[in-house]
Amino acid sequence: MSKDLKILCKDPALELSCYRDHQFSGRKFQQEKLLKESSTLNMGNLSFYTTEEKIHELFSRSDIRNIFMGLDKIKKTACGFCFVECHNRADAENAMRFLTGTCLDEWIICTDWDVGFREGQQYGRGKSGGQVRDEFREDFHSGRGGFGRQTQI
Amino acid sequence: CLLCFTTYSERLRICQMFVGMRSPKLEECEEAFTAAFQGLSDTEINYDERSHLHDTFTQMTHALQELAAAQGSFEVAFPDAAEKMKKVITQLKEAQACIPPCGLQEFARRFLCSGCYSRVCDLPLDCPVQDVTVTRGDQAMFSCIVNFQLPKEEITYSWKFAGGGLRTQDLSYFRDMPRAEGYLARIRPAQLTHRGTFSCVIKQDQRPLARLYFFLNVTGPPPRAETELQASFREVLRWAPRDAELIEPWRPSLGELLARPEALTPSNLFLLAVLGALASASATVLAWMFFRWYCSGN
Repeated sequence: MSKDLKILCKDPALELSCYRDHQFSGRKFQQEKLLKESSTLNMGNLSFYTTEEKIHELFSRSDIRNIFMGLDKIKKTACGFCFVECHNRADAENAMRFLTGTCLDEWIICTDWDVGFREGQQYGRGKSGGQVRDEFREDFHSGRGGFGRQTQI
Repeated sequence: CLLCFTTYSERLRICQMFVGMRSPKLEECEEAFTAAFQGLSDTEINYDERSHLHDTFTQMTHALQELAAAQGSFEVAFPDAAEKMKKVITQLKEAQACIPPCGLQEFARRFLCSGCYSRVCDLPLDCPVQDVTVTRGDQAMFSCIVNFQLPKEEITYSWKFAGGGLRTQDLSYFRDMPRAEGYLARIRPAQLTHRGTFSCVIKQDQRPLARLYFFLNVTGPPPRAETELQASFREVLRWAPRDAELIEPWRPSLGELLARPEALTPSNLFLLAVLGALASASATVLAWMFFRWYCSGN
């Protein structure tokens, strides 16, 4: 198949992005293999006020086994991401196709593959308890907790 | 459970009411508040009882605020509140056990206070394939029933079939069976063409709860007509060599061939098109050669 025609067979939603969980204990090729077989999605860039029920509605109440909301490690409140566990790979692929770039609570969400939810993974990894990306943010976003932590200090 | 059902601002507000807005004891109060409820961190409750527990924590928050306004002590108030909360939790409806081997069992979903999330049973949506064997001509019946309790409202059943004798759980092979409704499906009489896998999906408000699979194997002798056909075929085989010399070859004309229903097949149409194209090209070349000879003669 020529290079020009190969583009017709590509599915950008199913290709692995550059996102990798740096706390994954294993080799890179093992992680990639698990990502290609996983049925768990990582949804990011959510508003802090997006609830689990909203995400269920986004999925039209189908094809979801569990939703694990990302939480601030200290405050235990939502901090802008979640893990969505689907029943099988096909359902997860459909979700990846149709939800990437969707607007939810005025935020464009982004979806990535994840190897699977593990206890403790739902907490933010920033020093102040939230996500690292919000530590160094200097602009103001009411849906993301206001100013970044660095600016507040 | 304290961190799951109360917000940071609420907890901070309570401590500020106890010790003051900028008191040095503010941090100590927050730590005491969290430590008093540490015994509930491993609690697991029925997911449906979440709102009840949330309301109880809200009432506790108001009670603590009133106690703080009355100049109470947080060293006494927090352990007392935690003890009362523990009693409330023990009175909640317990999370039910999972029933294997399959299905989305929402009644068994539990909320874990250790991580502030809920988890459903770790069971697949696809149930194991059930084998059904019937004799040709008999009735085959499938019951779309699971061994766990289904919700009482908005339950629908959709049936699908993967033919060709396939035994599979791959949904891409299945086609809808519009005539099948409800939790019972029957085939009467069963024929050899019914061999394959039947699937039933139980849904609640478009959410799949379980997918059941039934592999139907139809057994039995071939039908009587087929036996008679085989006997006739054997007679024809015995008769053919003796009368072969009497058969005359049939030479139809082009019109007779085109009049037959099977004449206009895609390959024949293609051949006719090619023939027409060649004829047209030949005529064009001949005309060009004639005009070239005629002009060169002048």
